[in-house]
Amino acid sequence: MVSILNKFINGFIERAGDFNPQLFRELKSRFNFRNVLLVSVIGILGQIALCFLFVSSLPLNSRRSYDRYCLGSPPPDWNNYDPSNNYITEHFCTKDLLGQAVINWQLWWLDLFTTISVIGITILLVVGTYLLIADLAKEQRRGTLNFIRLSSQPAKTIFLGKLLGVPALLYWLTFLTIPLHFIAGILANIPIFLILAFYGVLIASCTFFFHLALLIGLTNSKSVSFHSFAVSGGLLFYLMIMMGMTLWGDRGGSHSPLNWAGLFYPGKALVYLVQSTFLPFKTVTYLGGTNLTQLLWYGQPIFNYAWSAIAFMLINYGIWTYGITQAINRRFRRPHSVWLSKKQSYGLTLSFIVITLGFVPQSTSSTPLYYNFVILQFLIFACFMVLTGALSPQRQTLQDWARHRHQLSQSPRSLIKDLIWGEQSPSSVAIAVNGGIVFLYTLPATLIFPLENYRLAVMMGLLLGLSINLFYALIFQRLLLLKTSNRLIGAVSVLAMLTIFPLIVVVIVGARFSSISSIWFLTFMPIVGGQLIFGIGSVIALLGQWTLIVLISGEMTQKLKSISSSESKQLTENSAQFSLSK
Amino acid sequence: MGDTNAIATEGLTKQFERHIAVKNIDLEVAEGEVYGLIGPNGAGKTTLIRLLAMAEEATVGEIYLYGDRIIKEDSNLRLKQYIGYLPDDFPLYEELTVWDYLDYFARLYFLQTPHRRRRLEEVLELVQLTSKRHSIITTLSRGMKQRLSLARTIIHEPILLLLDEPVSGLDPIARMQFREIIKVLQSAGMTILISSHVLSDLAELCTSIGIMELGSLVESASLKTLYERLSHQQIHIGILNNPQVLIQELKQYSWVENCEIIPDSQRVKVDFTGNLEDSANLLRSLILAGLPITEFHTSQEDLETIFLKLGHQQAS
Repeated sequence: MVSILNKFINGFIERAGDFNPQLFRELKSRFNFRNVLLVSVIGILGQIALCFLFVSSLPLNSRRSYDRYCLGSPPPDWNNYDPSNNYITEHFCTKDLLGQAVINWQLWWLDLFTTISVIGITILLVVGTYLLIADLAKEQRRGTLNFIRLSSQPAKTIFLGKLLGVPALLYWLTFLTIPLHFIAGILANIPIFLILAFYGVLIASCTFFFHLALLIGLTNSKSVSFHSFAVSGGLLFYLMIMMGMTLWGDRGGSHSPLNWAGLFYPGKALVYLVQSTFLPFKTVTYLGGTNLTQLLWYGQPIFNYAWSAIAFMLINYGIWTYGITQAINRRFRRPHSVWLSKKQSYGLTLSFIVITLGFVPQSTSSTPLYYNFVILQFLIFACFMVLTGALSPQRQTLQDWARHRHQLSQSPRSLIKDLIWGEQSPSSVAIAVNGGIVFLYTLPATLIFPLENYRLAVMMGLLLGLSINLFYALIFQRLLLLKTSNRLIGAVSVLAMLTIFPLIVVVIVGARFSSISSIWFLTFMPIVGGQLIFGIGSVIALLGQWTLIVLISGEMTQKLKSISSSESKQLTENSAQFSLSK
Repeated sequence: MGDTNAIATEGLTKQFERHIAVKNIDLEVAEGEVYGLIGPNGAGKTTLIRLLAMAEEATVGEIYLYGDRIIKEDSNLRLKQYIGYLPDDFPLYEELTVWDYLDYFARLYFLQTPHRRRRLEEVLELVQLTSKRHSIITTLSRGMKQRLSLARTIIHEPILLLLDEPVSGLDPIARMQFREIIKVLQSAGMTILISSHVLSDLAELCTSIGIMELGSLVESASLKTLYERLSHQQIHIGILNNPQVLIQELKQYSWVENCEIIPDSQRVKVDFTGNLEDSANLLRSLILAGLPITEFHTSQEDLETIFLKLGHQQAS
């Protein structure tokens, strides 16, 4: 029996290897008989334990008068009960002719379905992310990734193999759980197409988060275990928050561009599955989902319908997964290159602003609109921090660019073209172009949306915010040119200080003197200053920012020029040294 | 670019911060050659090999492999198929068996069954690891791991082998085994570029030698040319009685540049400028002169001596 199973597993690995060589190597390391048996036992015992837990919660032969799974109303003369107590009204345990409680089986199956879904999402994403980061970091540390890099296989084949192979045992565990999960869904009266759509969202979310894990794994981290734990811990935290909000905190509430961040939680799709059962919220008591279903995108109620909401989630995952794939391909092929090309960054920024701006108009009142622009500015800031990191070349690359720009075949000859499109040029102009894309796309919205007396404040706030983002990007790029060994950590720390410190000052001072809102100019969210920021103060702030930008740009240009001019001197020195040694 | 060159570089430079690891190198290696790269530590040999293997990107300059240029912004997947690269640290997947490890790399290079199976058996036989095919890699000795790495390097039948210090840390027997494998590969027509500090090995294997120092290629020539130009021929002559008589006789010949008595022996060391025929004539003349010659043999300065003579204080 064991040998037959072994043969079956080996045959499976052989076939998988014909499809993808990397998958072959990953499966060979992990997918052996012992591991498969262990995971199968854990999976089956886990499901049995869960079923026992659910069965034990049934009021089959209990003397309880009311229970979550009971179905009925108490007789009018029962125990002086209060008809206003909804819980008893809905969940009174009526007995059948055999004296057994009448059970709301649909709810029971729905609870089982939701429990497996939520546990499944968490285990799949957290453990999968951890495994992928740890695996890739281990390969980097051992130096084996270089061999794969030097082979004739394209990066996408290697990473598909990693994606399918590294969490293979996790997939096997998921595969073992699907029958019970699917049956629970069917018996909870969830339409099959919605269950399949949920699986689609789950696969898309795994693809997104696992690609993100691969990208993080490709950063040359020396503290592997910390890295893996930190990222998967962070993801667990996000999933827990989102799970809590989706299960129990999703009744009504305000809508904003932050809802977009919530759409990365695949459990959001469960809202539509629960709705499809037609069980009332007061019976189910979780996944009410009205916050999600009432969400608008450019004023359209696309989240009111399961098909359009799930399609939106899939497209959203698709766009960002595509962006991450591009970065992975680049970093795999050229480990010292920037994460994104400038051209790719323009496309991704446009996608970002098109998607997030759609979540701003949730009502026609000016104040909520203004608050949503405040949140949008926060998201834009986060986006630009990612862009700054992804587009800023390291010191060595910049030195090579400054010294040999005219000899590098991939550099366009014109300096301005090089700064806008070039691979190795500094990031500053590209960040400015990205800022331009955001501003030009947002500008018509600020004119069309009924912002009333907030209109100019929003426009000025956005402009100030974008230019302060450019200022941060310049500082970051300049710090990367320093000679110190820990310049990356230094640059990140300085940037963190520049962003957080003014915010703390503003919160402390602003709390005491609410009239001086204009001090928000100093932060990455000047829009918070509200109507007060529109005035001479904001113009001075803008001019001040631009002066600083020009000064730092000028200083950096001088630095790059000095690097470039020192080249010939250095070559002469080296030649002299060489002649002497001879 | 000439089509006959397996490797050709133009102004190849690699700079790290202010340190120029490889400086403006124009290297040409013809097809089928075994090219030895020597030089002190830090001379830039490893960086040059890494640049050729595409493990590192050049700061400036071009590399042509069999006439095709390596394109910086491209994956160069076709050119990668040409190359077999063995770095000096050869990391392995310790948890895999020897067979699975090679099978994986064979698949990475698109080898299909049944050819893949045959090729695996061939390379295992070549590196003498057939008996270890089912062993877990972690259980192998260093020499075996080195040979396994070489097997991985040649699994896809590359036409250009780049070997960086392939025998470092190996015992004499393992080194000899490795040398024999290289000879087999050479006879199969592969172009091989090999860096090593064991110059006697290179002298035995190579057809050409390049010497690197401070990132520059200061010498690149065929081994024959190098010997002709820089190696002196010496003759050791033994005599039954007083060696002074032999020295007096030797001074009459124009091919004899210098001669001296080897201390505490009846032998004389002669720096000889003639060819083989001249040395035969010298022997005949000495015997005709009635000198009781007991020993007469010619030798040449080895690669290490040439290397040191060029002013390089160390081979490693």
